[in-house]
Amino acid sequence: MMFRSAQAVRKQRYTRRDYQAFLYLLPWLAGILVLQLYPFISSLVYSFHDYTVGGKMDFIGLDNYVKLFTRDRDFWNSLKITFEFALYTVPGKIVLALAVAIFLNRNIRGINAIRTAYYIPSLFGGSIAIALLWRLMFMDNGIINSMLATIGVTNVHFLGTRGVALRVVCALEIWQFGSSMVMFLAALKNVPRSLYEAAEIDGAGWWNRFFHITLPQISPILFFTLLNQTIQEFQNYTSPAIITGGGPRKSTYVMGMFLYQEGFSYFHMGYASAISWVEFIAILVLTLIIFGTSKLWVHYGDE
Amino acid sequence: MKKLLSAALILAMLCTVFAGMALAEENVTLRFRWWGGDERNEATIKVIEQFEELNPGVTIEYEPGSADGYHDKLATELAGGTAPDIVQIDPETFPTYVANGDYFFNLDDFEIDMSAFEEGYIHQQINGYYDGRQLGLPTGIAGPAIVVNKALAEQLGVDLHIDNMQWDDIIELGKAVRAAGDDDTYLFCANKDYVAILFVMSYAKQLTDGVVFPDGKLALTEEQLTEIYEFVKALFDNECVPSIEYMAAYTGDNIQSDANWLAGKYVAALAYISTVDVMVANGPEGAEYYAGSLPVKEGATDGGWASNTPQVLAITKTCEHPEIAAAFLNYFFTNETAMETLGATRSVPPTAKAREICAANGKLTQLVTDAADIAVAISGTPNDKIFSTAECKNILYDAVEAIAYGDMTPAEAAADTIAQLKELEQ
Amino acid sequence: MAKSTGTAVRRRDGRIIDYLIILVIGLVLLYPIIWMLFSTFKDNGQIFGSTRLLPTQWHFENYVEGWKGSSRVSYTQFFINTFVMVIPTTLLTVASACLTAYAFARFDFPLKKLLFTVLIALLMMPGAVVIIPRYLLYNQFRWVDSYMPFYIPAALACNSFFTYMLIQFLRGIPRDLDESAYMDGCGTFRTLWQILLPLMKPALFSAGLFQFLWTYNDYFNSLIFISTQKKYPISLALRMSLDSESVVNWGKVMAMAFVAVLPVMLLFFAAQKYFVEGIATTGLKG
Repeated sequence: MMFRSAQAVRKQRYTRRDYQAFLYLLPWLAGILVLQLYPFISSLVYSFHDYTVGGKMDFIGLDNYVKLFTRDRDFWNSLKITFEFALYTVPGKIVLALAVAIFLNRNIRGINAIRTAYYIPSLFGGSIAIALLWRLMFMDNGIINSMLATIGVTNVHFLGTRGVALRVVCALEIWQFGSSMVMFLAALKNVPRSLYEAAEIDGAGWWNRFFHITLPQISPILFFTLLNQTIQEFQNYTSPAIITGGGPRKSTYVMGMFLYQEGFSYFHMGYASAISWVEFIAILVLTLIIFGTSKLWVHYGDE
Repeated sequence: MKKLLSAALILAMLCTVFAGMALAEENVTLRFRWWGGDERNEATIKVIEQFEELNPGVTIEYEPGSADGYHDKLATELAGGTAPDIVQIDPETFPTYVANGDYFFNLDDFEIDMSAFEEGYIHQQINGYYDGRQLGLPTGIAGPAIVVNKALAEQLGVDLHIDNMQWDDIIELGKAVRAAGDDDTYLFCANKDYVAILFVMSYAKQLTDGVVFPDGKLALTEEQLTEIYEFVKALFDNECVPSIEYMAAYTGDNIQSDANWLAGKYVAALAYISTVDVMVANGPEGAEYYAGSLPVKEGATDGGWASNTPQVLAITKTCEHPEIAAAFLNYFFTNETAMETLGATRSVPPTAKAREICAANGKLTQLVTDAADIAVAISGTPNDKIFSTAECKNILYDAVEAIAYGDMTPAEAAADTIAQLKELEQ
Repeated sequence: MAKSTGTAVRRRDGRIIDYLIILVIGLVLLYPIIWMLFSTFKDNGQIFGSTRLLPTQWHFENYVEGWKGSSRVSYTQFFINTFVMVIPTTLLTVASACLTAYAFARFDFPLKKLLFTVLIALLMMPGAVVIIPRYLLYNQFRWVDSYMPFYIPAALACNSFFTYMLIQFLRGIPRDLDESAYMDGCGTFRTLWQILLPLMKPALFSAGLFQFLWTYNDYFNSLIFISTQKKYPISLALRMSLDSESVVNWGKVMAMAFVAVLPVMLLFFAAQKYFVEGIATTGLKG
């Protein structure tokens, strides 16, 4: 499904050249066997145990999962918030990054410095300084409120109002759109200029060229960014943790935080592992859906 | 790198030669981890250097870290058997480690002069004493404190230094402040975390003779908790504390950066003895403060105000030279030069001698000393091992928040909290 | 992208409008950063107590004091550590991801679907929960408190993100290019080295940039795996003296956060010409 190259379908036997692939895969395969397999399986094993970090490990079968689905007061709320969070940030980030990338994909004087400037917010990552900055901006007597005051809107509790706080966190994520922008810039560079020239001769307008040349040409990277951002935002822990700490009233308590708190504040590693496997399955389902739609809109140059 | 290594090697060899009188026959390297700010780090390193000078051949590698993620790392290391030899631990996290494994040496087995500490103080679980074993040593005296802005309190005509203060007095004072002060003026600078830890937890212990979970079973009743939550509701309804929405920007320990505290708008702040100086430093310049009283319910057999230690120091079982680590702790806690160097960088020092030294050289302010005296006077039983867990605290934070937002009535919140606390029973 | 051939005047007007748009959007996006830059010169009172952009009193000493670091290790050391940690990690990541991606994108080998599924599955595993078993494992290898926990996984392409990213880029490059080279008797490695690598430059540089930035900013893994203060990278150093029991000079913290960002900023600025030198300018495609 994922590799539908014509040769693969036709071919019955593999050639000597094909087996050379394993030579290139050697480091990666070694990495899986030596470094990745053990933690991966361990976490699955932990999820069937009552395991406190450094403490005893008692097999309890599916209890962790049963508790998670039936008795845990945070699980369903966290799952919902995580979906909401991803629903705002993934499209927000991609659209903004793509728009800026297209806009900055030109040769004008100082473009290098301009692109760098636009990338600066992303350089800070989840740094402690950014956390402080965001709180200072959105607090009740912060900059945003004092700006709003000049147009007559007074005292919005950005961080203290349910629903609004989540959007403040999303705003930080979207603001740090730089990595996606870089991906799109690199992809745009690979679109052959001759295609645009031909379209221009045919008299195609900007939108026409965007939908018929730009989008299809960068679709593999667009797809990758969509997939990757979805996975990333589903696992995001840093942004809500540093700005709101999950509040108010757990309205920004995403799955990543829930998992982290169980594992590292309460040291319930068994339970945290169960959460992570449920999260894993949720992401898997989303990924499969995204892969499923990819046939419709992703065009590879190697087909 | 190689040069550095060989230089270190030569140095090490030289040290061995001169190590005749030293404690160790061979070179010993120990690792010491703590968290702290610049001042504490510097003082601690100086003490390490003093000790190294007195004991050639002993090297103590220091690993000062951030409080942020400190216990994530330590838990991982304890599980992996790679924890440093001497570790600073949060006393509220300590019980979790003790319950999960045999990680620490009993310090009674080594030559540490325990007589430096007051008997009743050191033999408390919160201070490292578990079932007859001294697994850690307390670094100081901590506990709740109320830092009162003297000028503002006098100006508004409220006095927070009341004999036999009752919980309801707080509400009345809060109302008076709102009536007399301007829009941003409140009685207390406090967020949900501080309300939960200082007020709810202390109140609960006053109602349960000091132990909320005796023998691992919840002693607090729904009626009692409803009473506490009625107080919490009154606190917010009468605006004794700023609105919960406002404080959302200052959760946890960020309370010290509240703009209104910086501007001197609050009559008082909820704090800990170990953070009193920080609150003062962040308050308006030149303001004077005094330590306020803490309420104790009429007829309570236990003061309820958990006076504890800000940290404990322990020696991990993976340490290969525990006797040398113990010698270091002995130096750290009982040597007068060390006491002078450390000053009050880990709150009010744990020994009478060290307090005397600090008071003499001005490292311990009158405000901090007063706050410690108030807390110790009405201090009750330290939090038990269930009541002090992060989980339990989070349950209380959530309840306070729910009441403040008006999502739950005190009775509903109490029922809900009790149900959750019962799950923590052992 | 509109390259209309109007008069010179019209083009200049268009340029001015472009710059204006860039400036306005840029200001909105960068306002917080500008505010942060000025706050590096403020004291706590000005940072928390006022919404003024410019400091009333300039505290240049925030930079001097900040650079001194904490507990006798200065930022000179932290910067050296960071580069020693980040540069090999970045190079190893790009190299290993490139080889793995080449195998997936250009070969049809047995078990390919299964292995690709494994690759994607590893991308989806939440990191926080595998940290304990990973720590135990690395501890067995005696890698703890060294940079090995960063180097070796990088060398063995353990982060699927980069592999998958390069696969996507490779798949955007027409197969005929390397197929014909192969037909001409060019070995598979030479095909990769001489034909594909030059075409993948923008992708390789973005992958490198990302890995550089992420390792540079990675707090959690550095926290867990690095213990000795003399080996601390900047991400740890920035949070070192944050403690609720001491007065934190936030201006100093902000100042160092700003200084920390400078190398990555320069790197991005310098590496950009490689994004620009894409396939489009070489005119190979289409």
